[in-house]
Amino acid sequence: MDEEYVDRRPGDLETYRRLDAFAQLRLAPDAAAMARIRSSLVAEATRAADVRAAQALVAPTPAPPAIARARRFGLPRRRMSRTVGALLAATLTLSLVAGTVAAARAGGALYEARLWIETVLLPSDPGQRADAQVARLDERLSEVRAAMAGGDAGAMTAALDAYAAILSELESQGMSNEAVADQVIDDVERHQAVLEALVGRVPAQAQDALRHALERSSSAADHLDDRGAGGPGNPGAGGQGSGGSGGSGGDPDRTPSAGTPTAKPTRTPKPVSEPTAKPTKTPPAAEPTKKPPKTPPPPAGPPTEHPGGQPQQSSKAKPTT
Amino acid sequence: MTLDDAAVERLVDDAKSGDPRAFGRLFDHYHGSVYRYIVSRVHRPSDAEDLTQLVFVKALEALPRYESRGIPFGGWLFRLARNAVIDHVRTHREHADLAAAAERSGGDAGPDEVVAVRQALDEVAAALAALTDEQREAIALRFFAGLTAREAAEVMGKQEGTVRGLQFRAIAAMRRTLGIDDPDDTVAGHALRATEEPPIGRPRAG
Repeated sequence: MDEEYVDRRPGDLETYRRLDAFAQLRLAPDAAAMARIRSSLVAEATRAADVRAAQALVAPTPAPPAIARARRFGLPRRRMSRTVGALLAATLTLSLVAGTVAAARAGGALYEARLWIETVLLPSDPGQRADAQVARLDERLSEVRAAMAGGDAGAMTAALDAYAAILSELESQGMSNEAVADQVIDDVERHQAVLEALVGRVPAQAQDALRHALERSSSAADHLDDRGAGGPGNPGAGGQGSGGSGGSGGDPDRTPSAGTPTAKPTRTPKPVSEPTAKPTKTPPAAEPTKKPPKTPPPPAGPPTEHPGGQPQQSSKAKPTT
Repeated sequence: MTLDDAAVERLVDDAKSGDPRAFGRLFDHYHGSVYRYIVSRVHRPSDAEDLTQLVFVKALEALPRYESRGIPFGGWLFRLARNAVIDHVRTHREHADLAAAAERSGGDAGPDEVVAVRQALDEVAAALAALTDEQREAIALRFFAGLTAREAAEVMGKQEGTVRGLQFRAIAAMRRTLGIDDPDDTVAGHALRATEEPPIGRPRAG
């Protein structure tokens, strides 16, 4: 115990007491602020738990231990088949229960109903509602990944369509709180990266749905960004020029400073369809070639043109505005 | 809200397995002490509120990887808080300044008493500001966060005896600054005694 400090010198207790008073009167947390923080933390904890549960659902399941052990130790065929038989019986029983769950999965008969129930159960508080919608988007992405792993184009299309629909709901929802809008934008951008990684890998039937989902996510992020960042101060995607009163000019990255949030650059949707062909290399017209060409050189004239008639441009994308 | 160590560990296990209510109860248990520690180290209450939220968000994110291994959850949480404060101070290029802590006075007291209490609190703030940074941190962890000497030592990455020494020297320095020889005779002592509530910052055993 710290009585050694309390009792050793006269006046220590008084100093302790003043520190107590100081802590109580000047360092006490504001109850309303703490309640707000608690609410948002519990919502975040709920969302994290839901995402983890969804990920656990779609995680690849290892072979049942009995079978794996039998394989490893080479058990007699009859004994192994008894084990497998018992497992099959258990699986059949479980499948009755799991049937309902399966029907509610993406592309299943009850999927639409499940989405509807999710919508109905959304909280009314705008911040919590936005959190819940982001959690739903996460879940749809998990479904897309699961469908991708299972090669189920129908489930993938259903999940992507649902994803796009939720984004539309989110976009039309009021987003008065800038911090919430920023968080949603971050989440949607994270989703965009996942969706873009799927381009070229999804089955042909799901291509349209993927393209639509990407367009919706890009549009939703821009829409929320415009609302959150406000008009002046948007530095533009190229980062050129001054950002006005709200932005920091040339640096399009977010700065962590607390006082003046930097406006974010506008995103440009990335191409969804087939990757574009590499730009044709055109020899510079003005430079003299060191080696003599194998074919007869073209007559002197205007600079080389692209087959389409346009002068060849750099392969770097232009900064969008 | 008081919980014993076993109850805290149970809540941590529940929160790790995805129970949001358990995390909410951990917040209820720790937010006051975390906030007091933070607000005693940074300029403004609004910053302290943001940092308190940040600490718990980080705790939530890192919770699946948290393993006790001899460090209680509270110590782990206060390490997050300490790192958050250090980052904040570094980012804002500010010195921790207790004199700028919340301007809150003593509730229902009359105008004269309010002035006396405010003056007494200002004196405590000034005495704290005159301490070295390490002494101030030891005081913040022991008195405002209510950690044991061992917990404070873990958070600060020092030996328990070192923290006790820091606290001892800090209290001695404050006693001198505040002119506390015979506390019954001081005006500030009378003013603060009038507002006295059960102590929250008195260091716990250990």
